[in-house]
Amino acid sequence: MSFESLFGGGDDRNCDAEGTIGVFRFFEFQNFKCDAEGGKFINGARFTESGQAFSAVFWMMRGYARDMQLTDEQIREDARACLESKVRQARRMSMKERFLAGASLFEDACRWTLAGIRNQYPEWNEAECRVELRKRVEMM
Amino acid sequence: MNGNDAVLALIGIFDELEVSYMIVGSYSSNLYGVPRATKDADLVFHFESTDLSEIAKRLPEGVRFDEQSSFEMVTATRREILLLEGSNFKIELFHLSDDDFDQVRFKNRVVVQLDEETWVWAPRAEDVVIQKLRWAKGGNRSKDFADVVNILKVQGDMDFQHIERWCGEHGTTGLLEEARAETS
Repeated sequence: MSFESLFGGGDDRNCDAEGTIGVFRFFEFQNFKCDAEGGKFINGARFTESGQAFSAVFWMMRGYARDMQLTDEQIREDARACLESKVRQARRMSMKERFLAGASLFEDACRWTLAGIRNQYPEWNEAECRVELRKRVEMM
Repeated sequence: MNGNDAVLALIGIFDELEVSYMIVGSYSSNLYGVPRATKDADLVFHFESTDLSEIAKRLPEGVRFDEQSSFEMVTATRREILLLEGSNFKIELFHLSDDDFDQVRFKNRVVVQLDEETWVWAPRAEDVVIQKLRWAKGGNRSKDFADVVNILKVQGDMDFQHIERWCGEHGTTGLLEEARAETS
């Protein structure tokens, strides 16, 4: 199973485990209640620490890789294919899309992280959640 | 107002006041490499006056200068920060420094057309690589190194004579070689 097929849909963006799309897919996997070992980690994580959404995707991949018995070489091959895919996608983007992408991805990531904080601390008010978000952003 | 709107508004103010500038940092590497999320926009600008009130009074609602300016350590450049109300996104303005490379990349900056009505000034791709490697070394930041690898991958053909010359000056030749090896 390739990295791309693991993340489904054949959309190049799905390969980006370091960005917002990674967070997005994280939520999707939760919804799917994936039973792989990585899935258990995801269900336990729920943004309990900064950056855990990204880590969760990483562990998800690792858990999957173990279940699928992928070798290190196959994983490296998938990572190479993923980078090539991202490069192809970047070449297709217009200059305006490239220019706007950085802040848009950041703002999407903030929205998802804030949702995670609200979920983790339902007793907190909006201001407290935003203070926590700011702390996590400072750690980036 | 979101981060991109604020950046474009600021660029409009620079154009209006005829302030020379260029967009640097991850905005510039996003133009030439693989776009990634960024929590700030960095611009280098050349403004004769130290009085920024002309810029400040034109800022859109919800955008303001942080009261304290600071120094960026790699090139010892004075930095002003613009804060966006209700957002964690920041705009950082670096005064053009006397640093040789800062002067060269500013002189060589190019216009990047975003659409029919919008354009921005940005460094050449080669100069983004050079500066990012400097940051990767000086700031020990892996994301700058990754940006360089991505720019080299996306751009392919580049003026490596220029890049190698400046990397030699900055002591980043080893990092450049590592980045090139990762793209092969």
